[in-house]
Parts: sequence; C-alpha cells; structure tokens
Amino acid sequence: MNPDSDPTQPVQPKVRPMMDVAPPQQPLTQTPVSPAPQTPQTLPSAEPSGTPAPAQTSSNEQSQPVTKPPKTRKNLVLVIIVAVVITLLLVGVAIFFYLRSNNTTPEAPAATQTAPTDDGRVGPEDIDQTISEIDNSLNSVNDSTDFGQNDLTNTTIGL
Amino acid sequence: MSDGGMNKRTKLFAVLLLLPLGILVPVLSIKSYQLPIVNAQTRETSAGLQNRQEKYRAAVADKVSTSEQERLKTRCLAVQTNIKSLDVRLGTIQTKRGEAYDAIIKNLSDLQTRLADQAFETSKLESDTSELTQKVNAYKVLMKDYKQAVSDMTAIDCTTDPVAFKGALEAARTKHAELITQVGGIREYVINTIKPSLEQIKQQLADGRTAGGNQ
Repeated sequence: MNPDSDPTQPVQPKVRPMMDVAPPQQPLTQTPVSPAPQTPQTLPSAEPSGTPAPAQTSSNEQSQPVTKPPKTRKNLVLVIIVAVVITLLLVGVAIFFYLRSNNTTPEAPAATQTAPTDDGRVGPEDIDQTISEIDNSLNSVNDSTDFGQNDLTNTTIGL
Repeated sequence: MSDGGMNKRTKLFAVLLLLPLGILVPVLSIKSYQLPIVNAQTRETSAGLQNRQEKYRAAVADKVSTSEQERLKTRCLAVQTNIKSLDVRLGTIQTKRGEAYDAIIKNLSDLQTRLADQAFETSKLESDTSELTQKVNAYKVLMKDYKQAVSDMTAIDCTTDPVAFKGALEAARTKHAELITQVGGIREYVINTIKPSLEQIKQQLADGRTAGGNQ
C-alpha cells in the first residue's frame, strides 16, 4: 500500500531502505533523523486502513509522555489579577492619607517673593516689584461685580 | 487531580475575595473620611439655623404684614432658586477675594521684614500694614455673615416661615451694603495710603539712605 494514498496521514520520509521481507507488525518508534514531530502512527501497510485515529492516538500515549496544557499561562493571569488588586488597595490607602493631609486649612497663597538684589538688600526695584504685585492682587477682584448694588433687590431676586 | 482542583479553588477564592476589597477599600476610605465631616456640618447647621431663624424672625416680626407673608409664600420658592445661584457665586468670591487680600498683606509683611533686616526704619509701613490687616479681617467677618444670611435664605422653609425668610433677606441686604463700603475702603486704603508709603520708601532707597523714616 502506498502511504501517499491516505490523505490524512503525513508522508513519512523514507528512512529505511526497501526491504523484501515482510514489514514489521508493531508500530515503529520515532527515528532521530526525522526533524518534525511525527504523528504517532504505524506504517499503513502494517495495519488495516480502517483503523480509527483516536485508537492510534491512545495507543501512542502509552509510549510517549502526554504534554499537559500550559499551566504557566493560567498562573500568569492569576498573578496579574492579584497584582492589580493589591495595587488598587494601595491606591485606596494612598488616597485616604492624601485627603487627610489636605484637610489642613489651606494656606494663603504665597505671594511672589520680591527678588532680592545681588547683595540681598532691598532696592528700589524690589519696591517696584512689590507695588506691581499689590496691583495685580487688587485688580484680580472686581468690587462692582462681586458686590453689585442690585444683587438683592426685589427685582433681581424675583420677589 | 484533586490537588490541582483544590489549588484552583483556593486561587479563585483568593481572587474573588481580594478583587472586591480592592474596589471597596478605596471607596469606603473616601466615604468614611467625608462622612464625619458631613455629619458634623449637618448637625451644626440644623442647630445653628434654628437659632438664626429665631433671630431673623425677631428682627422683622413687626414689619411683615399678613399680605406680605402671603405674597412671600407664593413667590419665595422661585426666589430661593435665584438665591442659590448667588450663594454659589459668593463662595467663589469669598475664596478669591480673601486670597487676594492675604497676598497683599503677605507682600507687605515680607518687604517689612527685609527692610528691618537692613536696619531700615519701617514703623510707617508696619502701621499701614497693621491697619490694612484690620480692615481685611473686618471684611472677612462681614463676608462670612453675608454668606451665612444668603445660605439661610435657601435653607429656611419659606412657605411655613415667611417671616424668618424675610428676616434673613433683610439681614443679607444689610451685610451686603456694609460689604460694599468695606471693600471700597480697602481698595481706597491700598491705593491712597499703602502705595504712597511704598513710593516713599523706594525714593529713600534710591537716594541711598540706609534708614527710612519721615523727614
């Protein structure tokens, strides 16, 4: 029987010379010459063509160690999940302490320090800078807008 | 096989336990932090509001006629909607204006310290800064009272107690008028007193004087 006649079976490299003796009755073991992992099977001539594939596989499991499904991938996923959970816990604790530290009375915004002169003494330019900063602070608020004359009149509030 | 199953079960149990904790802990920590503050504020507000409501009612009890009370009952809910937006705006004003005034005082204080370090006479600047600080503190008290009155207007049940609502409105109007005067006074003081003092110091420094003072 020609191995090529069975499409489900990969073509086996002809590693053995043709012999005029009867083919072996037992399934062949893997030869080191063949690079690709061979599907464990016997020569087609040794077995009837109607042999089902699972039977072949199960018989070959006894001769070869069964490769287990990759457990490392599952373990990696679990590790990632645990790491994420721990991170979330730490973030929660950090947020708690951050909010507690922010509960202190907010300090008045630090005014821009007047740049000292080279020798650290106050000079006319420092006074100018102070005046400029005072102007900026004063101009940042609008008295007539903040406390308009008509803020609480009956007309304004709808009374 | 059973050991592998137990291992899987243990890991699954650990994940199912830790995952909700990882979400609950941050949320609960934030809520538990805020809840006592909210509760304390709520308790203070209820008791304080009742006291203030009594005062408001007492202040205008004789001045609100029955017809005006009825008119207030029908319109006060719409008024409260307008007042609520004012209340929110006042919060921003209070913060921003307070920061601006504090920045001015800090500028002057820092300058005063540096001038004093170089033995420059700063008594005038010191008194000016002290006066400004008093004005700003008075403003802050007024602002707090004004905002309180406006907030109370939104909190009072005006349909059942229109007299207290009217009293809160009148109190807010009084504080508002005082505030207009106060902030105008602060601005005028900075422009007409503080800045001329600084100009004088600048001139003295430019003249090479190491000690200030009026001459």
